[in-house]
Amino acid sequence: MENNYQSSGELFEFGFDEQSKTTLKAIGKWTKLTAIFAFISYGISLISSFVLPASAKAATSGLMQAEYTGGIIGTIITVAFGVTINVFLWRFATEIVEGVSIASQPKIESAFGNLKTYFQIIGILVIIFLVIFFFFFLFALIMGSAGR
Amino acid sequence: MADNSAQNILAEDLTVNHIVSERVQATTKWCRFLSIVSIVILALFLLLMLVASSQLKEIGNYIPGFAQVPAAFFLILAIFMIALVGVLVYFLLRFATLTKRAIQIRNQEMLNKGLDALKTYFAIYAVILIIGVAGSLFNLFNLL
Repeated sequence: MENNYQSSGELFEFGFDEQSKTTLKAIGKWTKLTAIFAFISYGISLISSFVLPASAKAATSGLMQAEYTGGIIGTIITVAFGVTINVFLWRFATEIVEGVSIASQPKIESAFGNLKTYFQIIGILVIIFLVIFFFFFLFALIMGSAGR
Repeated sequence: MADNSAQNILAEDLTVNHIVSERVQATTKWCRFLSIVSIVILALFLLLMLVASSQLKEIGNYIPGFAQVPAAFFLILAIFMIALVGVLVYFLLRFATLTKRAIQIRNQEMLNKGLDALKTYFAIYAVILIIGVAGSLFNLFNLL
């Protein structure tokens, strides 16, 4: 019972006041815009990878064809990761605006879960890139010293 | 009656409960990590620019259509990009630091400042993305 009073007291003391609710709505609008333009940019990347290298398409050289195919595969992988990440940002944007508008605590909780996942995936991808970069750097160092 | 009104206030109030608190803290942890990595990369990039400043004069020769562009242009462009990313990182780190601290000490004003920093971060990010998309569209139509 005492705990209930205490937690109720804490709820009244600390929460999202009018100012933070307005800020959360603004964050929702900006993140929605960010996600929309991210999706558009991935669409453009896909179109560009298929359409632009017309010279590579027409090339008879096997190397150029391989380069063209590799470019498309690379773009598809990048777009797949990018779209997945931005789906979480989109979900955050819609849920945070809805949650604040209808004062829904579960929506707010879910929205912050999506924001966490968004930054978590980016963080994990950065760690993977750093590890790959470190091994390339190490490999280059070893090859360089072996060549002397 | 008093109980009812208290319940209504409770129902309409959005609170930083343990679920929100836990998720926001995890978010700030990842934001802090990303900010620190970005600062290190920016510092390394600046160092590289200082070391390879003489090579910057020839960079235009490697980009089609940019052979006549003076080296100062690339230098200004690089400094501008570093500054832009630096501002983005600053707001992300500000969000992470203020929000984490606000939840720990349960400070409303600090939480508002932290959320404001996140808003600014996404606003700048959205503007950069819009400019990037406009540039990509321009390139796409030019080359088609």
